[in-house]
Amino acid sequence: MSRTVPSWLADPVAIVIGEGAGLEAVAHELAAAGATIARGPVVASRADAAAAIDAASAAARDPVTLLVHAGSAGDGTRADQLDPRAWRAGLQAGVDSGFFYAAELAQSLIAQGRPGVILFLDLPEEAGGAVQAAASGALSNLTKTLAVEWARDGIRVNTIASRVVAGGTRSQLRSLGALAAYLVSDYAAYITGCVMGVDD
Amino acid sequence: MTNQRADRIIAPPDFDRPFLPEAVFSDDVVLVTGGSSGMGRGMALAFAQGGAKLAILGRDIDKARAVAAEIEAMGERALAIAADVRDAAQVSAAFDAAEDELGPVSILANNAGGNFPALAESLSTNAWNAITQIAIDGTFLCSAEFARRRMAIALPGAIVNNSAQYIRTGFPGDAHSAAAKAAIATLTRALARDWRPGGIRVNCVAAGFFPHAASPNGDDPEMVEKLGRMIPAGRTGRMQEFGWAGAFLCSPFASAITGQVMMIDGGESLRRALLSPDFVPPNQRANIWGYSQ
Repeated sequence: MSRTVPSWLADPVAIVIGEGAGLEAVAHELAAAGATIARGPVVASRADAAAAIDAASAAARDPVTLLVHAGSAGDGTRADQLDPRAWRAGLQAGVDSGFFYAAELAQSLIAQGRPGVILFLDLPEEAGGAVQAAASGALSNLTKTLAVEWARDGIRVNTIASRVVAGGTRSQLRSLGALAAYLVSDYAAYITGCVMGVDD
Repeated sequence: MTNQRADRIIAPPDFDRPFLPEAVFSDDVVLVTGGSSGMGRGMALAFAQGGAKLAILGRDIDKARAVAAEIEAMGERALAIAADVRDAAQVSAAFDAAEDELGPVSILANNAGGNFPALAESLSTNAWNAITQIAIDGTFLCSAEFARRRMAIALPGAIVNNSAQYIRTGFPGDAHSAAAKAAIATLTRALARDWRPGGIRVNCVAAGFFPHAASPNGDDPEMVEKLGRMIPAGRTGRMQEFGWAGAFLCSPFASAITGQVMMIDGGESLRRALLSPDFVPPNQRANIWGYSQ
């Protein structure tokens, strides 16, 4: 069997946010499936997300239509010992930044009359401490909400919540990448608002 | 406030634009229960597209033979088998028959099931038993038979189960299937845990509305179009999308994916508004699955 998925994508520009073994596996597989990959930073505002999307579109000479966001909500520090700044930074990376990018991308796609796909990568709620639990709950229900809000605009929203996002075996990382490539392809055009894992 | 933007409804690729590589299942024998119609047939065709040999299990041998003939027309081997998945002896005999003709079964797709609108207070013992036992007992018996055979020869395997979009909300007017389909999702996770050491992966596709010839209004394009408008995605599901989801989960691309429930419903289960029409209980509705008197 080939090492990567078939050419499931018709060369969309994907903006990929975050870091870690899981995100790199997904970026690798999306590129193999046909996407052009641009990178963006975790942001604290819609304006910063808009700037990152514009920069990615300009660099690729084509509008971004695909967003993959992997925020990290932080470690498993006990809630009573968690610094308030670490709490806020965790939620910002784990939820806020993903929302800002998603809202900016959707608004721009709707204005252009273009379809698009959003994929959030997350850890399971029990994989970290209080920040992770809050961020995962928020992101999961956000996924289901945005999926319905933008369904008629041809914008799908899904989440892969798995420990593999933080790292795993070669086989687990390949499956994560393949699942991501499938979910953002038109072969999965009827999958939206889905929150699932890999082996969790 | 109104927004006049036009709907953008995304269609999937046609079935003849293959999804997985042509030979991805060329070493596999796939047994599909409920394979003689509807969603089971959709899954069987998706596996055949990847080069699998198919055992089509159904209670009606003539219907199973018709699907087997379709698969042979695609250039793959197929065997029709009549069996009732509620009977462990018949299940075992079906695996024997598949193995004798095609080789050891390496992938199992549990699609046998039935459904109809019914008021819970009027549901007979037989009706409850039929729907819940075909889905829950059938999925369990076929899965256990499959896993025992794979582990006996120390080979991995993959199972995909057929669940439904209403497993997290319940489904008033469909008590039998609401119970059965949720059991399949939780059973999926338990079987995945039990058989992880044996290399047997178990996943589940929780499906929304996939009209087919045997489903209510499935053969009426106008009605299907109308049903599509009630779904956020703006359309009902196409059978190849359901088939591909099952095939993906059983493919080598998903070799580390197990214990998962993949929802494929165009957002149908998530549709809600704070304001809704007046609530009418199922036993006062003109149509049990409708919303009005």
